[in-house]
Amino acid sequence: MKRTLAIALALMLALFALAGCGTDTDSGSSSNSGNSSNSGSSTTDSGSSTADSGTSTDSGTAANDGETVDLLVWGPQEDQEFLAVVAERFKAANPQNTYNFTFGVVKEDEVKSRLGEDITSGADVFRLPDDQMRDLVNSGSLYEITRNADNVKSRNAQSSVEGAILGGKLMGYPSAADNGYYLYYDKSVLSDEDVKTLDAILEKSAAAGKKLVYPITIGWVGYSWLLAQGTFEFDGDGKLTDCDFNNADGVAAIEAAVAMVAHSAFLNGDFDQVSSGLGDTVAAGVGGGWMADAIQEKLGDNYGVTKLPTATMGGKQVQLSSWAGGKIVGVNSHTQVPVHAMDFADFLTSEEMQQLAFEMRQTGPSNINVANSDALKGVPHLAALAYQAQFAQVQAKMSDPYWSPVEALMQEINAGLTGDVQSALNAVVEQLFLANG
Amino acid sequence: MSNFKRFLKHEVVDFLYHLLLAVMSVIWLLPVAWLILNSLRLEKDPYIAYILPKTFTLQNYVNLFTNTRDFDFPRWFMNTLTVAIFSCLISTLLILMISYTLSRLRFPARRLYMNILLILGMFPGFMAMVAVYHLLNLMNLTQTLTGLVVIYSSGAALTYYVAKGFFDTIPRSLDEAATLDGASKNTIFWRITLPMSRPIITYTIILTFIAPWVDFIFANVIMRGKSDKWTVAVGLRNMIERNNVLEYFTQFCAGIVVVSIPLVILFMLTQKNYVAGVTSGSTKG
Repeated sequence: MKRTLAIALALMLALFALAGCGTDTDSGSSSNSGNSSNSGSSTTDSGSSTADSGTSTDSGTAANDGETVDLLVWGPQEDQEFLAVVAERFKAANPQNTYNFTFGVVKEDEVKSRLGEDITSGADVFRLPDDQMRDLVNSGSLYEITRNADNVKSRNAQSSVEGAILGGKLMGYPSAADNGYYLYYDKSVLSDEDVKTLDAILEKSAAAGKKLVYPITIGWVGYSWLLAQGTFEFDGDGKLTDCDFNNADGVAAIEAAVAMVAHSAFLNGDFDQVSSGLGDTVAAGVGGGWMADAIQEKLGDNYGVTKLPTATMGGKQVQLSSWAGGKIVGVNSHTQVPVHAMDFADFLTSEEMQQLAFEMRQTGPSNINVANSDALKGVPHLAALAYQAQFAQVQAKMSDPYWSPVEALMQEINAGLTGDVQSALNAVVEQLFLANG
Repeated sequence: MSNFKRFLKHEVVDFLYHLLLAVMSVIWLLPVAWLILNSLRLEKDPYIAYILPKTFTLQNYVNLFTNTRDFDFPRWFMNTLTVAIFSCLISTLLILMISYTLSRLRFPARRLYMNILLILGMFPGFMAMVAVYHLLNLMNLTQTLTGLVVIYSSGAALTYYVAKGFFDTIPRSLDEAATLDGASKNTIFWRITLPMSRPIITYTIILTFIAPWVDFIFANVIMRGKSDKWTVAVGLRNMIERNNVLEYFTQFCAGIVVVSIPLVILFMLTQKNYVAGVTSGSTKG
C-alpha cells in the first residue's frame, strides 16, 4: 500500500515538475513571468507605490536608449489587428530601444474586473471606458500621466480631456469619443423632416403600422429625458453637487415621457429590437455605434441616422439629451516600465493613430483634428454622434449607483405611472444624492 | 369481449405513453434543432422571428475554420482537446486509485477521510477561484494549459463515491484468491479489479473528459486576455459580445455544434458501458 502511494506521489510530482519546465520555456512572454514573480511582494509594493513610481520614472528618463522593453497591451478582439499595426509603427518610430509587444484580448469594460483580480499580471497599457475610470483611480490601478500631458490636453476635445482628469490629475490618454446614442430610422417611412420631432415620428410610424423603439428602461437611455432640461453636475472627485430633476422642467419632461409611452407606436424594447426590427416592424429606434453596420446593411438606401428628436415638454419643443462617453488609454500603476508604457499610450492616442483607428475600425476620435476631418463627416453614424454630442452630457464621472434610481423611475413610467410625478422625481433626486458616497 | 376490452385498454395506455414521450422528446430536441438550423443560416441577424433559415449555407462552418484572424477557433478547439485528454487521463487514474483504496484497504480514519472528501465535494469549486488563481500564479502556471489541467484534475478525488460503490460490488473473494496466489494489492488493482471495471472506467472517462469543454469560469479567470490559450467556452463567449454578435452569431452557433462533435462521438462509442456504469455503481453505497 505504501509503495503504491509512493509511486503515485512520485509520478504526480514528476508530472508537475515537467509541467513547470514546459511552461517556462514555451510561454515566451517574459513580461508575464516578470510580473508574476513580483506578485508575492505586491502588498508591500503597493504601500509605497508613490515612492516607487517616482524612482522608476527617474531611472526611465535617465537611461532610455538601448533598452529592451516588454509591454503587455490589452484590447478587445476586434482591435487586435489595429493594435499590431500601431505596435509596428511605434517600434519604427523608436528605433533606439527594442520593444517586445504581447497582446491580450480583454474587452474595455472587462478591464476593471481583470485588474481587480490580479493587477500585477495586468497589462501595462489598456483601453477602458471613461465611466470606469473613477473606480480604477479609487482602487489605485491607474498611473498618473506625467509625460506629454499638456500636449494631450490641447490635442483632444475638451469633453474628452475632462473625462480623463480626476481630482485635478490627468489619469489617462483620451483615445476615442465613440459612446453615445442617437436615432436610426427607415427613410422609406420617415422623412428627414419627420425625424426632427418626436410627435411626427410617432404619428408617421403609427400611420405606417410600425414602431419607434426607445429603450427608456435602460438607465443610460432613460436619462435622456431628465437631462434634456435638467442640471446634473459633479465636482472634481466625481461627487454629485447639483441635480434639479425635480423642478417644473423635470415634471414636464416626465409628463412628455409618459405621453410617449402611452402612444400606440411606442415600443420599449432593448437595443436588439432596434437592430433586428428596422426595415421590418420598426420605423425608428434609439441605438449606438455598435449596430451601425448591421442596420446599414439591412436598410441599404433607406438607412437614416441622426440626432435624437425634440419632444414637446410643457408646450415647447425641447431637444432630448444623451450621454457623451469615450475610451481612455490607461497605464497600469504596477507596471515595471512606466515611461515606455506612457510613451506607447501617448503614441496610441496620437492624431495619426486616431486617424488610423478611424480608417481601420471606424472609431469615433477624441482628437480635434481627426474629428473635424471631412472623411469622418462622411460616415453617417459618426456624424450623428457628433451632432447629438452638442446636446449630451459628459458621462465620464458617472458611476454605477447613479443608474438605478432613474432606471426604477423609467420602469414605473413604462408600466403606466400612477402616482404623482413630482413626488416620484423628489424620490429620484434624493436617491441620486444618497448614491453620492 | 373482455379480451378485446383489455386489448383496447392496453393500446390506449400505450398510445398515451408514446404521446407523452413524443411531446417530451420534441421539447428536448427543439433547442438542438434550433441551434443546428441557426448554424446553417446565411442571414447574420441574431434576432429573427422565424425558425427555418431563408437561405441555407455551410459558410459559417467554413469561416469558423478559415477566418481565424479575429476568432481563432481551430486553436481553441485544439487547446480544449489537449486539456480534456490530459485532465481526463490524470483524473480518471486518480479517481480509480482513490476509490479502490477507499473500497479495499483498511486504515485509520478511513471513514473520517471519506466524509471529509464528501463534504468538500459539496462546495462549488469556483468559490475558491481567486485563491486557486493566486496559487497557480505562484507556481507560474497561470495563462498556461497546464494550469487548466491541474485545476480540472486536482479535484478528481472528491468524486470517488460512484466508483467506490462499484468496486464494493466486486466480490472480495476474488481479491483473497489472488492474495493467496501471491498478488500484492497493487497487482490486484491493475490485473484483477480494473479489467472487471469497464463500465465504471467509461463513466469516469466521460465525466472527466466533458469538464474542460463546459467550464467557462475557471478558464476565463486563468487565461485572462491570452487569447491563443483560450478554450472554446471562453472564445465562443467572446464571439457574442455586443460588438460582435450582429456579425458572428451564426458562426457562434456553428462553433457550438462543432464542439459537441467530440463529445457525441465519445458518448456513442461508450454508451453501452456508460449506462451500465451509472446503474451498477449506485447499487451499493
